[in-house]
Amino acid sequence: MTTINLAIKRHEDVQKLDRVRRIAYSVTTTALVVYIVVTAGFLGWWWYTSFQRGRANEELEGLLNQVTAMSQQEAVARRLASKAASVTSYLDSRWEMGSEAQFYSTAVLMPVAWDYDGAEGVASLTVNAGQAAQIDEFVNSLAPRYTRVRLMSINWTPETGWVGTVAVGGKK
Amino acid sequence: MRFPVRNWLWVTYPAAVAVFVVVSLSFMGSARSSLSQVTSFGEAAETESKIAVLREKLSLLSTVNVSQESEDLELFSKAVLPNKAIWLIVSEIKTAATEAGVTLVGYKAAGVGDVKEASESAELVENSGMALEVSLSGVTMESLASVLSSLERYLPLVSITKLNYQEGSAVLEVEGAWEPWVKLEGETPLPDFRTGVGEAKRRLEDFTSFAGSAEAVGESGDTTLNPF
Repeated sequence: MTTINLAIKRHEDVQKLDRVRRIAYSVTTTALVVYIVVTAGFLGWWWYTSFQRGRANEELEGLLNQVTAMSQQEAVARRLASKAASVTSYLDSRWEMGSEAQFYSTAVLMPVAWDYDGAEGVASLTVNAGQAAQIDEFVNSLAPRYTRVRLMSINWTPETGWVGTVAVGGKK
Repeated sequence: MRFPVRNWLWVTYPAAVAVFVVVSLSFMGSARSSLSQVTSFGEAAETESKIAVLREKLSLLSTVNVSQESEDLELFSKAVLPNKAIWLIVSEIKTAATEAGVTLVGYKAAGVGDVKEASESAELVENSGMALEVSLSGVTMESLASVLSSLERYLPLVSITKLNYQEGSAVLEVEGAWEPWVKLEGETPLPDFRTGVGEAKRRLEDFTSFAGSAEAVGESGDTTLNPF
């Protein structure tokens, strides 16, 4: 008669179950530890950034209040900046006619007529001379002061002698 | 056969851990809006940049001495008037002509025509600059140089926009500098004005203010300011 030993099978089942239990415990514990560490790290970072943000917002509010309290100083500062810029810009763009007239009054030939148009930035000068070479000399004396110098016309009459008209523009 | 419950009691541990994880995750999910601020680096950077701007602004404003700066402001306002005090330009021209020994034949508002017509049309007056057409007689190039040099050293600042000189006479178009007070609603950062102010003061050192120019300096305008 054959005998079936069921005790061995039962022992094997218990061993399998025990192995499954150990694996489940290990995986669960590992997952729990990882979860706790990650969550703790995340919450810690959140708490830290919240604290920093709160402090920054408080500082921002304090600074805003201080700036608002100094609105008079700010108004003066802005107006000063604007007016100073206007003064400098105006002086930079102004053609100093006084120095031009001073130059012409001591030039080789003193102009007998002077037409200036500020919008165009050009001027026309009329000179009388005994010789044409003097008009040339006058034109050459203007070259260092202006970027554009052009002898527009030169005529001679017995009454006036040599009369030259010179156009200048683009003061250096 | 009895179900061997004892053999399966160990399942409670992983089940409890799973429940714990699910419950804690759902709790954090409900606080999602608060927790998501951790990743909003842009907002934090914006706050920091605003703080830096305000600190710089405060350090600049703390150096502003209102009484002293107001004196500089008054000087610049005498140079570039806040209103069209054309009578000051007339005074300058008269003084310059007298000093140079030339005769002031007459003057009129330039580009506007008859002064009476200008006053009847508010829009015309409003849009016109502060320019005068001046006629001089008894003028030589030397005396003209004297007139022009004098005009260019007076406050308020003027510029010669047109000139027609013939031996013995001259017609000038003289334009005065003016700029109204602007409403300060700028959102631009506060400029570091010290360098510009120093430069402008240096350039105005040799200029002469006309008596009465102080009365022409008025102040108006809102001071609504964006703190940034």
